[in-house]
Amino acid sequence: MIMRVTDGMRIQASLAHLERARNGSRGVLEQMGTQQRINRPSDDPAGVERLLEWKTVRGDIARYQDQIRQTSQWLRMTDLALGHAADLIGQAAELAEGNVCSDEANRQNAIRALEAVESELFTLANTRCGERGLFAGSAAGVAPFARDTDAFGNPIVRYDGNDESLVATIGGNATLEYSVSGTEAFVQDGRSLFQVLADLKSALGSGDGAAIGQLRIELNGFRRQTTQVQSISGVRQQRLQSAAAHLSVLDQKLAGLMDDAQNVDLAELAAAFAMQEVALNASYEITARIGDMSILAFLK
Amino acid sequence: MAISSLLNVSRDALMSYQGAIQITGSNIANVSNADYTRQRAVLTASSRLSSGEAGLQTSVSLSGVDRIYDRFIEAQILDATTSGGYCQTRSDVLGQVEILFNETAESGLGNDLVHFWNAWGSLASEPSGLVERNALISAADTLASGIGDRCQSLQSLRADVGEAVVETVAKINSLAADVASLNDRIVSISMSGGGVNDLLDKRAAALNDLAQLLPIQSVEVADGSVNVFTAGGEMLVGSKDSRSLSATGTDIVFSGVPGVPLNDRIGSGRLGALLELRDGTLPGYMNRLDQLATALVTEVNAIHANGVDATGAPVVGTRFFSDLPVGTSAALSMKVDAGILADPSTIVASQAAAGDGEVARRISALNAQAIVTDGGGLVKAGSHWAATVGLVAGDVSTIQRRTEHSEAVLNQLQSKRESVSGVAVDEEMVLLIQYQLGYAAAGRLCSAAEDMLETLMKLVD
Repeated sequence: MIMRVTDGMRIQASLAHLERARNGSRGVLEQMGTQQRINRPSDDPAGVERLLEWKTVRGDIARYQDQIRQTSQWLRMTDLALGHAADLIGQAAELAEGNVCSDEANRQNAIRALEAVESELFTLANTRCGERGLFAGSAAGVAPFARDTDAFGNPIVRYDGNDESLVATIGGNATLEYSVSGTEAFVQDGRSLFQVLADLKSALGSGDGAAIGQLRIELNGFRRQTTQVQSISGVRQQRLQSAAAHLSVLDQKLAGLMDDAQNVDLAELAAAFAMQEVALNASYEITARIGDMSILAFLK
Repeated sequence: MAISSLLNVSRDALMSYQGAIQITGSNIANVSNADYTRQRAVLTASSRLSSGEAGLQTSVSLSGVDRIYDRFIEAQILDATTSGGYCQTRSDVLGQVEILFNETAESGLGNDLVHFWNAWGSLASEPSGLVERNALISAADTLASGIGDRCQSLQSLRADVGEAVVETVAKINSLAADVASLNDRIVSISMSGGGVNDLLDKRAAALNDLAQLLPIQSVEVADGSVNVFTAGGEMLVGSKDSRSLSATGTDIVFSGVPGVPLNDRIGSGRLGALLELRDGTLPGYMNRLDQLATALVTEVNAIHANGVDATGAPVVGTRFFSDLPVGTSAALSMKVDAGILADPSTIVASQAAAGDGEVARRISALNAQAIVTDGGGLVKAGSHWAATVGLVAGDVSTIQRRTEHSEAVLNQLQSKRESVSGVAVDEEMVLLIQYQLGYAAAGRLCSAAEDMLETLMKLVD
């Protein structure tokens, strides 16, 4: 049986072909314009879900990297301060060593030098990074060390910080305690460095050689402690660098994945566009000739 | 045979071919009318008694006008139209939803979430920083507004869909009444012997429109009327009357007949799509936003409730987000607490000592924790949002594919219908030539009879 092909069928078919060709061109043109394969979520539901997950992870990475940058800056300042403190403590120890048996005049000179060292150490102990004291523990907005007097009116240096550590989040489940409290840096066996320096000043004033010798030993202990804390800080710095490198690689890989999922291949798109253009032109050509294919043309 | 009977035959033929040409003319005139069903003149030989030797003379008469259609194709088109109505409606509405969930640009709720967690991270580094506190409030407010705005838009869309349900029910009632009225006219005109093809076309078009709105089954009755049933088997249109539906609250019922709502049995057509969107799909999306908002408010407030203030004094019960009122949408109610907005210094950032930033750090770390209820388990907030966008995108993509498929099926069926019932100009032109030829021949017969009579008259003279 011969199928009847009516004029309506031919027109419907032509319209459908035109519509399909136009839609194809529109899709390709949109991708060329935005240079993105996914222009709305329904273009690739699974792809858009993956992209969002990756975007969130990259947001986390950016936050961790920011934390690492800030923490790294803190650790560099801590390293500098502790290094300088170790040098100053060394100078104080040398003053003690050189004045165990010295005369009054030399001891007075040593006291003046010691006062300068103590003042510089006091300043170092109160070094700030942003709003925080480097050696204040987790306390913010306070100077960790303050000058005061004891019950007998003797000058003392009081510690106003705490022994808590600041914590940085440097990964999904990775944290790093990075701050050094004033106690860790400047207190040994319950004795503050500033108390030892004050005692040394007194011993130098009274010329008590035995006490000066003992205090020299204590100061050497403080120098070792400071150096040890500085090395711990260095280890933390290395851990940060390792975490930063890992995050950087992860971020690059995610950026690559997102690029592959999101961005179009322009060469491929140009070829597709050319094909769509041919299809569209062919559809126009056929539609234009629909009217010619009729018996009416022969009955004129 | 009398010569005058030749004139009668000629007259019959002239009238028959004239009628056939009129029918061809109707076909040609309706060549672009999609609802039109082509008609065909039925010419039959008619015998008339004659006093001549042959005794019988055969003439021609236009005994009827056939309406050429295939009832099986028509039934298939009704089904495909119902499916098309469902897909198109769902696709249109979900297309609007997709705009709300378009996360392909740089902005979006996913970014708002990242900024929110980052703001807590910055506050953890600088717990006493006013800039960090203000930035956090801004990020939290943006996030809460983002969730709330999306939920509000979904709610408005749902209200629009609810109005569309009422409008669609009214349209169904109107079309059902039209079909009943056409049934009545078709039966009465048929009984009086009149032509009803135009009315049949109108009824078919009305049924088609009805099928787009509601899944129906139509059954032709011997008297020419059709009975229309809903998918559940309830009669909607009888031979003369129709029943009307009404949207009572959220239920669709037959007017004046208290009974079981029809909602569950209207699974397709425009009305089926609207009911599914109103009662299932859109509330589902809103529920996911509520889940996200509830988790964020609960978890953030739980950590924020215990800490120390700027002076190190313990603080208990301070909320970051306002409490969620019972019985209302969490997504719509989510907002930064008024106390925090009024005084950013009341944000609790530290846990044990002023400035330790532990509270802010723990809240920032919530990003990596599974805190949002999703299905049977817990997922991270970012993953929940990504899954929500993926769900919407999947729904849109699925319905777009179904719409394309449904359109292709409908186009194919319409093409089949067109092949059977459509007008082909070529065919009509050939028939026109054929009928014209018949008409001319009949005229020639008349002329010959006249010549014969004239010859006889001359003999008499």
